[in-house]
Amino acid sequence: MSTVLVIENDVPALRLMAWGLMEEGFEVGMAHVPEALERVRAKAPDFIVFNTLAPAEQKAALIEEFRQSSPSVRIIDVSDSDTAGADAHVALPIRVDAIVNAIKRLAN
Amino acid sequence: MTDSAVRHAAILLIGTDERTLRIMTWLLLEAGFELAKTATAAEAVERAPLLTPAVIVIDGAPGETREEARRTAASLRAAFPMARRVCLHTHDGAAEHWHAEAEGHLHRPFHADDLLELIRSLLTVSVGSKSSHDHH
Repeated sequence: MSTVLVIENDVPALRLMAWGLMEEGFEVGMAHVPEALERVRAKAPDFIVFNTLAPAEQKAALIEEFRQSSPSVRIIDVSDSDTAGADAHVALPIRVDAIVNAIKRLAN
Repeated sequence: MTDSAVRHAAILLIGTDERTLRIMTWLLLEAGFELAKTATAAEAVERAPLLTPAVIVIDGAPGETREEARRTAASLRAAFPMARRVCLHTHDGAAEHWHAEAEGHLHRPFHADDLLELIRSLLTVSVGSKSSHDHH
């Protein structure tokens, strides 16, 4: 089973992605950015869907920390620009089908 | 279960009442749990190899007979032997048949704290101990 942790600070966007991924059959958790690293350390997901407006350097640093905590995790960055260290990039605006496709591509 | 395992345990929601599912979804996700959902128990059983619930919350179907509830509970027990079951009841509904089939019971209308307290109490009860939890 694929567990997906959705990380996002904007609550409506977080809910949109979490609900959409549940509809697609994933086991879903969600976290806001400040608690995300602690969450990944506590229970590593298979995938992280990551959307934050933080500067690229901060995002890359956080992704690196995710990887150190959980080397096997696959990270999907949802943003307007490629973020260093992510396994896949999904462009804004948020589209659940595009995120699901990215997860499926990485799973295969 | 450790505190961390309780906080992030996987919960499976079974039901078709969109409003109830949405409310429970946001409460449980915001509380830090992981969630999956299926429309029916049969769908959950079919997807059992892909799901890892510690607790299953099932919305008792109106019109369901006691025998149907017993069979559904038996299929969930077989598919998810480690999971504890919570039945969401409507007071005057046939879902009362689930009283003997679940370790926890939640009656509509329920308060957010009731749901979270019930889930946490089921997760922290030691494996093998017999318990019954009822929240109104």
